[in-house]
Amino acid sequence: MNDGFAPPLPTPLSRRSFLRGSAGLLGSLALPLQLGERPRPHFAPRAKNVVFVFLLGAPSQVDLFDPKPKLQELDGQPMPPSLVAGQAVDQLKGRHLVAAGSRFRFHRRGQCGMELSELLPHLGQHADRLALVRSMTSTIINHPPAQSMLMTGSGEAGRPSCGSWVSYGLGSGNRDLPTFATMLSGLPPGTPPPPVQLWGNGFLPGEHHGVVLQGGAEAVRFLDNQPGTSRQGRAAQLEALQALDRLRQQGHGDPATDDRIAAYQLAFRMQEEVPDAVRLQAEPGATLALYGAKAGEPSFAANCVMARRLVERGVRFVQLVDDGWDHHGQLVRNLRQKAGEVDQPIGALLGDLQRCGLLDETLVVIAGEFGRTPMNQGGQSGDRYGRDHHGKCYSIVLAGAGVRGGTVVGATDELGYQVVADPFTVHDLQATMLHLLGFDHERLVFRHRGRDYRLTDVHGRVMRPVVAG
Amino acid sequence: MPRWSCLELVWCAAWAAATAVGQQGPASPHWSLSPPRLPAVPAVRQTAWPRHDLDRFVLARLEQQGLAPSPEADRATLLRRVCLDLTGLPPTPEELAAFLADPAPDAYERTVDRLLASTAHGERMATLWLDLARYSDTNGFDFDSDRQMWAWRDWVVRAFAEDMPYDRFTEEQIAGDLLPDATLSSRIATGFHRNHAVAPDGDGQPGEFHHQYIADRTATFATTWLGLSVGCAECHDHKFDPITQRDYYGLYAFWNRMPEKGLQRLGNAAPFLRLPSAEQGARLLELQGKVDELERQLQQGHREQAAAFAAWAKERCAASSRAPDPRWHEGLAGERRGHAERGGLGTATWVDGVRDQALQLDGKDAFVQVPQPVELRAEAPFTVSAWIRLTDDERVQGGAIVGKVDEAAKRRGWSLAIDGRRLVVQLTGGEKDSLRRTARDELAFDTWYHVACTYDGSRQQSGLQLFVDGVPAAPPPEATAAGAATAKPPQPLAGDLDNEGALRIGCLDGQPFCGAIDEVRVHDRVLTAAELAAVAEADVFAAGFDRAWQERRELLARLFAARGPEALALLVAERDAVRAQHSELLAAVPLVSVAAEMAMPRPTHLLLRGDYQRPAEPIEPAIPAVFGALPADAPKNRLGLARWLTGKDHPLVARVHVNRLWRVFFGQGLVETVDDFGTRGERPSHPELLDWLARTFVDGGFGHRRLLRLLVTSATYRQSSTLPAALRQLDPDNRLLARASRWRLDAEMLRDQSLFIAGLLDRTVGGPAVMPWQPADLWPEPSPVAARHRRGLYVAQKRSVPFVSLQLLDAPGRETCVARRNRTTTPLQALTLLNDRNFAEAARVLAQRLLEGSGDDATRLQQGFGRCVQRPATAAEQQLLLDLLATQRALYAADPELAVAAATVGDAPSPAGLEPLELAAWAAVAAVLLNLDEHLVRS
Repeated sequence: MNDGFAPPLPTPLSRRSFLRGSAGLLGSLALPLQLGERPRPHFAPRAKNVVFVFLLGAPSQVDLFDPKPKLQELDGQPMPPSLVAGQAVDQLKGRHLVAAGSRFRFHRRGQCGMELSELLPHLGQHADRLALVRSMTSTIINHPPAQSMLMTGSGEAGRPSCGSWVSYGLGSGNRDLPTFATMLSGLPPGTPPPPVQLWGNGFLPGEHHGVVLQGGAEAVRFLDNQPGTSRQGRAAQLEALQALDRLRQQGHGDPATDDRIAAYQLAFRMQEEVPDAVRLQAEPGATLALYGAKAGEPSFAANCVMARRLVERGVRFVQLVDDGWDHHGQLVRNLRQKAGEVDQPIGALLGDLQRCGLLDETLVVIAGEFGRTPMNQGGQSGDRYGRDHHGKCYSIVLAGAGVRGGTVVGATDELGYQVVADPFTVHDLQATMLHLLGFDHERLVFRHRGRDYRLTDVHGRVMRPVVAG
Repeated sequence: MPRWSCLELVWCAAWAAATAVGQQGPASPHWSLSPPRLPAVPAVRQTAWPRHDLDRFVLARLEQQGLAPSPEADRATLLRRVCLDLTGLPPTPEELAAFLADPAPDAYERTVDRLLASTAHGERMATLWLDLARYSDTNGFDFDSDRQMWAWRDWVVRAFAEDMPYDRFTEEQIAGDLLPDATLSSRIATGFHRNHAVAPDGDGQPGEFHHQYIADRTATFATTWLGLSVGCAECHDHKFDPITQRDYYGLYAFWNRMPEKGLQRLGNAAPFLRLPSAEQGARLLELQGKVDELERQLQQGHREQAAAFAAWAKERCAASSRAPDPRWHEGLAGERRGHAERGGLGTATWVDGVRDQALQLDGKDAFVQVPQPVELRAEAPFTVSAWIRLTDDERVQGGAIVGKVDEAAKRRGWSLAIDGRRLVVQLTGGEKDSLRRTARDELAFDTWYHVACTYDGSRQQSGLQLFVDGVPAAPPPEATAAGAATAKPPQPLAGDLDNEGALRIGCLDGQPFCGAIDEVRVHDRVLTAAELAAVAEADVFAAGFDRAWQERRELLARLFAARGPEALALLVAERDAVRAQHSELLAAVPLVSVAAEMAMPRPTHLLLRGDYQRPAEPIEPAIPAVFGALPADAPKNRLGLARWLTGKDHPLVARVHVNRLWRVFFGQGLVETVDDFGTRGERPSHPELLDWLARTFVDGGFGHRRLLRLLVTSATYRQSSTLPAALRQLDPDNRLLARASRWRLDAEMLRDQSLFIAGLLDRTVGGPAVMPWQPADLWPEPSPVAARHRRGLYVAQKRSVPFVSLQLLDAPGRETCVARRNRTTTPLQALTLLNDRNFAEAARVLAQRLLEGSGDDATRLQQGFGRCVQRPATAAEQQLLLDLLATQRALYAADPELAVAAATVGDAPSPAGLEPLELAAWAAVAAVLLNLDEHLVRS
């Protein structure tokens, strides 16, 4: 800890002595009450941390991950009725369903020859480290419940986020930082932020709630003292508070007071540790350039740099929510822009984690809540066309700890309409994540309202082809 | 498992035995399924200790274990405890002094009675109920628009404050609309079941959402009144409890009979009540009276002018043959339907129209798509007209009539629609580039109107005109000259209107239409009012004068009134103006969504694997078979369900509720799983006590006040919370009740307490929710400063953006029913209590309060300390705080600017004349007082 900046206090009790006093306590008492009930891993974990990149709004797999030459041929022609008749669509209800080939080229990447869109050159450099699943399916095609499903395993709001489950399962890797951190980017101006339930603890204890790290001045809610309270002043306050609580505790004997004292001390240390963890200025300029991030400018790229810094410090689950992927219209322009915003940072993050030796213990997941139609929406001409919600198939990417690199899993039909091999669901992804973290998803449970709840509800199976042998 | 004790081992053995027996079959039902019987009060050795029979159950158990109860808590602690438990607020120094000075033996009981009779008590108890009811001030989901449910919340506060018995409390909330003695108040009570989240219109499958609402109601009902979790029986028979999937859909059926829809545009989902104030009500009556009188005069006028009317009609019939021909005309007559392609999932049927047949749309997503549409341009004039007849539907009032819009291209295009029963036209060139006109007057249901808009190609809003029945429609008040003076001038249209969307009649851009549409026409020029009148009349007289005169007399009378003699036209104008005032006032009247029963209840089916798209056999409303059946003469609806719940021998209702209340006053339930009385829940720690309480509660008439008085005047409640080392080992969780428990206060109580001690708390009761300050990225526009210091109960519950300080202190997000809040201890809570501006402000204002009093440092410290924890500081405590004060003074003396900042934290006014340095130093000390462990807990 950096003690250098603080001048000596004009009091008999120095901040140093307070912190020293607290260090002893932290060893024994900083653990939350629930620790005794925390589950133990069911088998040896492959991963210790997760970085979950959530492309909110559902990116187009046909343009990014799943090339369809036949769709190209049929471009502008009606979709075969045998395929699409009577199937639910969202905004395309009652419209003529016209095939829309991708306007982007695909290239083979890496030793494995994985085909990826020209929009993802940086990700493509890591092809041999990626498992690309082209056979994801979703029964829900409304955004809010599908987003909830991806993060919590249920379309109904109020269940714990998978980050909370991981926090509950693994506990903290750094007692001066939250276990589950969330960062947001790409919010279109004037639109409401993504719902808090995506990182909510649901019925799990509050300590497992995702802590939103903000790009602005205050990294964690209420982290900064109010104007007029200095760090020295706060140290003196907390020292007096602790002494008063201890005096009183001698009378009532309640051990919960120890937890409260520890929580105040942790809060005080977080005030120093968190800003340090998210301080991009501490990164070499070359590193920032690698990600395409600028210190002081909130962006997805900046969040990726912070993700690496947090993983380095033992934060278990880092959720990067990037909004703005719901391309019903003007897809060519919008997707080019969005892919441009995330491709380089994700590539840099994978490379950076690899360099630090962290990729071996960090699972990276890149996913949206569902896919997009191979059919056109918004007009055939020029740049105007877009794609509607699609649940019958979509693609996600996994990389890092325990993931079989250079793998393409599953396949869709020649028009990219539905899965023809190895279908998987969000629950399967969740089961796989927990598996790599050392948990049997059927046994990581929490009792609530008379039921043992789990992340995967009553579903889920580990996606074996994704897991390295 | 940590901390095994002999006691727990005994319980586990008993539980295992019970579970094993339970699995053998229905011969030995789970304990909670037999009605509670009044147990014999056990004998005890220490006969001087019990104050009530309640205490004997506790003591007998302690004596069995060889334990003794703790001594009574000191009077100050007891007063603080009972004030917080019953009202959510600590006692004032004056109340404390009076209580300590009261030598009467019943001083405590009288205090309890005073607290129980207070409104603050109603507010305190309501919080518990709001968690169960997942109360919120917004609709949830991504759009999360505001709704008004606070009238229901205030009903709960009043019910507790006025000691409504629990049986009535239950009946009103479950079936207050169906009771023989239903009142406005009992109808409001049914809002309980409308508190769930409601999805926004436009984006989604309504059936999926509707199923979700009913499932939520069913689960919430079962947790709240039965203490059972039934959710898993949605997909299959319950694995552990005797609830089959059939039972589940039997309960589901009770909640599936409300006239409602899966998607809601904005605001309150129907059915809802309007709740005018006395003043509003009187004014509405007065306006309605005026409308009626003008109507009477109009009809009188018509009768007087019968001859003139007939002559007018003949003349119009003749003139109508000269109506101008449209550029495009989709007549919608039966023989022409081949031109159009029907789309959407809703239904569209052919019904009798003004001319030939009209299209009846069901308010879902039906529409007619025109294959070779005309393309309207921003530079070219046009007129669009149609006949419409609105159907009164609970949810959709109007919708899109006709238009051509490309949703994927920023809604570029044009549409003529009905919004809230008012005609509206919109031309859109692109994002934030549109012209819009709305008519002032609402259209009546079940009445044919000829509606039209004209556009002169000028790209100006002034180039748009609306017509009803061939008469220009008056604009709404805000668009008139007075309003326009303050409003921003409308921008001209920049983009063009041509687009790749389809020309549709009916559902367009997510606005379904409910009603009939006939004779849609597009003209490529601006028609005059007279021409439009002729267009309309041509349709009316299409089948000849005689038939029109026979069958369309009312419609003709309306046209005559609108365009006939000037005297009548003036009357019409006046009536419409009064009507507009009426509807404007009506829009300001508060709403509350409530339960209602459909005249023809929607059938319920068992859903295979809980999938709403896979209905199986039909299911009638029924209680789970394990409880038998509703009596033959009981109504098979919510009223029958309510009566079953409030029967005197219901096995669960009283037990579950009494247990929940026990938790409020003793920290945990006698059944620790307050939300689960099923076989997977915990066994009661004191089964006889639970039954005794349930029986006493029911037989005593379900009175809350009586029950709570019993609880808080018991010897068990009055014990000290001091935890001796022996008990810490033997019974760390205090299941045996050999002492009082100590726990952190609920989120709202922490907020209320700090505001109360600072003297900031605004005690206004009820009304719309308020938005206190919170970081600007969450709530950019909080309520005005004067309205920010209300109790936590009244802080707006916004589902997508919760009030973050309460959330961090474990207040639930109100997404689903919560019977048991978490009580966590986290560093984020410490940050909140120290740094949230609301708490920091309370510390600063408390410091002001202390400085405004007289006395030296030590006196002031004692005053502040006493306000926060209701006892004087010891010498050691006083010295610690004096040292802190000295430290803070030195710090601020070295940095006067820092002191000024500290002295002005928050929004509450800072009085002139206080030295910033002193105020800052004292605020730092006050913050410590407001964060004392002893202050944050009840003990």
